Amino acid sequence: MKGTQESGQDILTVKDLRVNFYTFAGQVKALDGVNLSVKRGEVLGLVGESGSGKSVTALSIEGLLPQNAEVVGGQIILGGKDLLAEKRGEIRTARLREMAMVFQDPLTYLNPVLTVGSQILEILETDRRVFTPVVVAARLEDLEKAGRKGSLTEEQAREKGRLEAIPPQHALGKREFSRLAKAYSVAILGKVRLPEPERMFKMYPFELSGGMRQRTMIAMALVRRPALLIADEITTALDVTVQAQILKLLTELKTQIDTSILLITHDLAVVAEVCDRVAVMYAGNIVEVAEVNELFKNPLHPYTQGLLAAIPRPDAVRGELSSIKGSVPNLIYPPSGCRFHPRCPSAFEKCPLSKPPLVEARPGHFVECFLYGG
Amino acid sequence: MSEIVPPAEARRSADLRFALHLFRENPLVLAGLVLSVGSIAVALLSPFLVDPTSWQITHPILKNCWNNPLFGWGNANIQACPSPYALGTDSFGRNLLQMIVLAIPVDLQIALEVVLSAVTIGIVFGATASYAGGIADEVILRVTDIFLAVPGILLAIVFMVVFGRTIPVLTGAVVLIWWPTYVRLVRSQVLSEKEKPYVESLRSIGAGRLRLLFRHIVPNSIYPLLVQATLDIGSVILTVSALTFIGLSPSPLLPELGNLASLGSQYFFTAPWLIIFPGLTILLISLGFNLLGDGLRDILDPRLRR
Amino acid sequence: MQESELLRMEDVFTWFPIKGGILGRTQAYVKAVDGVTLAVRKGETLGIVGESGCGKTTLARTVVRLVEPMRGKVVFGGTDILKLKGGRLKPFRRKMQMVFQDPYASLDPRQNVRSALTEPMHIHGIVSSKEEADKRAAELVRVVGLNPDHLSRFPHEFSGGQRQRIAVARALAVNPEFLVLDEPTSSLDVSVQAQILNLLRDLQKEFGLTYLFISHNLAVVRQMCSRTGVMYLGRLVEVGPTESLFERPRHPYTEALLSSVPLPDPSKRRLLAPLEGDVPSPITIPSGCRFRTRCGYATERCSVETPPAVERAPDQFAECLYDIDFSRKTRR
Repeated sequence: MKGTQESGQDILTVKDLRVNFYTFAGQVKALDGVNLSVKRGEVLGLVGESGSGKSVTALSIEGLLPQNAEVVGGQIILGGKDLLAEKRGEIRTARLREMAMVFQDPLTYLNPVLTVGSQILEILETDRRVFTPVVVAARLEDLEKAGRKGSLTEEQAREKGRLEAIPPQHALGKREFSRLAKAYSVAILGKVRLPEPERMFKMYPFELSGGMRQRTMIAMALVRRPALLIADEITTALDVTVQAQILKLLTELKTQIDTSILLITHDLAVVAEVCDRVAVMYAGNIVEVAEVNELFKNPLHPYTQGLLAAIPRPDAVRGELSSIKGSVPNLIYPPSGCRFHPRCPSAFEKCPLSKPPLVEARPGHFVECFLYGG
Repeated sequence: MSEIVPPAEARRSADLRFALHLFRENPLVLAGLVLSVGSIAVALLSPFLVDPTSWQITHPILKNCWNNPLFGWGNANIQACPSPYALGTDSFGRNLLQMIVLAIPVDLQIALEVVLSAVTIGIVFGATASYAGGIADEVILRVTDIFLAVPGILLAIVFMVVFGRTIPVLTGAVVLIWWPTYVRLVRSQVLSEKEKPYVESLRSIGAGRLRLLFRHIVPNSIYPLLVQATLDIGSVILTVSALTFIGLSPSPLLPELGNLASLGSQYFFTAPWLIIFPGLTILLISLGFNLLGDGLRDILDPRLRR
Repeated sequence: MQESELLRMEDVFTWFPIKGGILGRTQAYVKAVDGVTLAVRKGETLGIVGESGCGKTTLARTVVRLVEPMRGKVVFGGTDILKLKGGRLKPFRRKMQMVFQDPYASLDPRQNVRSALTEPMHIHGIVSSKEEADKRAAELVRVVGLNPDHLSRFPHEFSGGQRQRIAVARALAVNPEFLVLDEPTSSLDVSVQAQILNLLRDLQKEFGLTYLFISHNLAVVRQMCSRTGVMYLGRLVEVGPTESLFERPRHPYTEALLSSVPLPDPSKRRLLAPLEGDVPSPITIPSGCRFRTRCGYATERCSVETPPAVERAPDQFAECLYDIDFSRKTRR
């Protein structure tokens, strides 16, 4: 259904995003002009090591930057609105409706004293007006399915009529909303392949395993039917067999739901397994963007090449692992020009002078490197 | 290896900027610093400011008089002194300001001795308790329980009644009140440090218990002790003053803040300065150390996590 | 014990009691290491892989006696080190050193590099003067790729990779023969990990070291280890030469692990067939074969019989009642 070939609108566009952090040690120039876009229906992988700025990018999009951070430039366009330019109330609605985020450690993001079910319901009940369409649509889908299997009962038919007649900005009455919301929540729990969703609904976070909690977080994110799901290192803390379950879930969800995913990770193998396109970040810049097969077959940026050469593989021994000399720069004193040049084996005179522009070196394959022009 | 480690100067200036930020956010910490450092300065300079023997000489004629050109009490019953005194005279006719200046080092010295003793006892028994564990730990803990269960002042009073009213006994009495807190503090610090990976890795290298304890664990546990000690200097001064106030001092002439206040308590309506100024001094000094301790806690604690 | 064996663990059980109730009686045990027999051969790098809760870290800590097993032998160079007390243990501590996962936490934050490196030397009395110790320290930092002017700095001034180098240098300070490496690169970035792994390889060659390499990362283990053991719920369910273990595993868990790992190669994208369910708790271990609750090939026999270790291929042992050819079967 949702293939990567379906081009068309971008769900999210980030243009020239610059973010600084103010610390006692100095000003950290965390993001240095980040450009990225997530197309409708795709899974975009955002890969980088520590200090690359991938989490800062995600936090900027979600509006969760800490107090000492400042967005000093750029645009974040979601659902047609620039989140950095709008008024607070509008941004909040836009974010609520259009995107959701899942983090690395589900235990700290789940309220330990509430059941899983009540936490999902809580999300829907934050704004009945915004989520009425969502729960109504879900119920109508159910009725549709029931209608196709057999015929609807009188009551169901009446309900269907009533729900279809609801005007767009209308908010359902409390009781009816709760009823529909509950049914919808249970359905979502099933969709993330949690066993016995009815039972799961009443359980507490501590009763669940790591993998189940992470699925709960994904469910909580998807319940809003966001256009964009941001998954920030969601499998980093999981065992490899549990990670495999989650990755499989994501692969399946890709085809079933109408949500684009921005998958943030440091693990290139995860990216290779799940993503349609990949953006590589280094020290606050996007250095390379390409379709996934293209990136792994023809990495253009020296950093990407170095990274791929440094990864050990479980399916073959690689002799001496090549490594990138030096280490990630301190962003209080970032290198001049191209931030990678001190570590780059192919650096030349132009590199320390200015930041290379993003060029399309091959069709659909973008690089920020003077080796390819600019 | 092209490593960009932030230069040492940059780090130091980062710490400095953090400290300045702290003072700006919390002006009371600055006030605490001024008060506590100020009182220590007065204590150190006191032999040069005031004749150290002047507390022993009484001037009965000058008893309870006030003569400060800048400030009067508006009370007809107050006797005027023949010459100006900044803070009037006390019931022995001594210059109250001079007495206070002499009293500050006395109180601070006692407070310092008490805190240092309590810290030392705390380290010795606290480290033993947590490191040895088992019965030693249980015994030490129960003993601290017993001491903590008895109201401190009562304990000190009984101690002084039994052993006499000298300054060493006074110091000892207050140490009795304080030592259990430090034993528990050190014990909990050592217990938590003991489990840390760096201790484990040193153990695997072959470091013995004593080396681990005194070269590694205790130095790493210092910060909370330092904070507590600073806070306690203020509290100790309050306690010592309380004890001398109720009469447990070696001599009524002793230049000690609580003692001075005690003398003044009988003359509140005819010579209010006698109790107000020593009391104010006690307040300012203990407040100063308290605020300083709070600020220290803020500086030392989050930095460890940064 | 064979000539070429440096360390041998025999039937090691490390259980942690769970106390409860008013009297603090032992109610149950966490069976972290539940009967491990393993030999590490001189000069090799033996890898131990497993997921969280499998006991691999406890195994590492048992080998260096950071935790005491309740049963079993750990024989190093002919002596059962579990029977040694205090002073007699010290010379063995010198020969076996450990490198921990978190390089920041494993260094005393108040000790500078020089002090951290020279302290082991003083503990074991291998230097006779401060100058000699300082000289050795300078040599050690050079060996691990750092500068002598790093000696006066403190741990928090270094990056993760550099701290791990310092930890390795400290382990080498007393000329050990055997290094236990507990997830040495798990907290490091990929590019730094490569540097450290290369360093470890070079050091092994230069100093003739033997490594016990613990990791949850199968790719790293394949890269570094000549032999590999797979742990599950406290036991080694399979041990063998890395190549043949990875190419043709003989235990269902090994097979499941290998097929759960995503490859950094989108053209080799497979429909991961992940293991269902979660790792059971090491407090209540399933009867018979402990893996049977998640095993796609389990039969009724598996709940009754405890599988012994059987040599299914040259030098490759698996604790499974059946000899399954995974390339032909599909998991249920």
